[in-house]
Amino acid sequence: MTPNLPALAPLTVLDEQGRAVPIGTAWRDAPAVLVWLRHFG
Amino acid sequence: MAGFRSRADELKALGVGLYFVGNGTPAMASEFRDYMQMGALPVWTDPKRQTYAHLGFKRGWMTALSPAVWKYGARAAAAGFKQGKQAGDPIQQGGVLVVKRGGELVYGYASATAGDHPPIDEVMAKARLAAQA
Repeated sequence: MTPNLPALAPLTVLDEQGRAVPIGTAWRDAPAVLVWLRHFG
Repeated sequence: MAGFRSRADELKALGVGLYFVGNGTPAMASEFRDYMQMGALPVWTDPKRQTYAHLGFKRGWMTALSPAVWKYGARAAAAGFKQGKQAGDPIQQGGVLVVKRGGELVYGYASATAGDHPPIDEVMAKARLAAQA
């Protein structure tokens, strides 16, 4: 897979309080491992 | 995939963040944190699955019902993992990214079927690389 991270970065997800967070926040200040789950459970 | 939490301390020591992204409601994310004992790890959710679509993570019944899925399920059960109440999209697959600070990709893995995960040791090796930059 060859993801386009600059294009991915601004897409928003929700935190547990329902606040929108750009996914790129994860790697803005530090390296990151991101795990996309099939589902919660 | 939740098994990555077992390496959270090691990642923290490297200065690498560990984030989980699901696709249910924020309340489901919260329940998941409690059930999986995620502690302070961020658990985010993408109910519209925009990030999944952008990354090309697969979605379809064949990805959920292929024969390989039964094998992976047996392996996970043998390792002590059991699937709890399913909360989210049952035919959506996931994946893993390792990214350097600032947004350079080090590693990407898209699951082909349910239970198809990248080897955690491989991801950890990539995380160490990401931490060196």
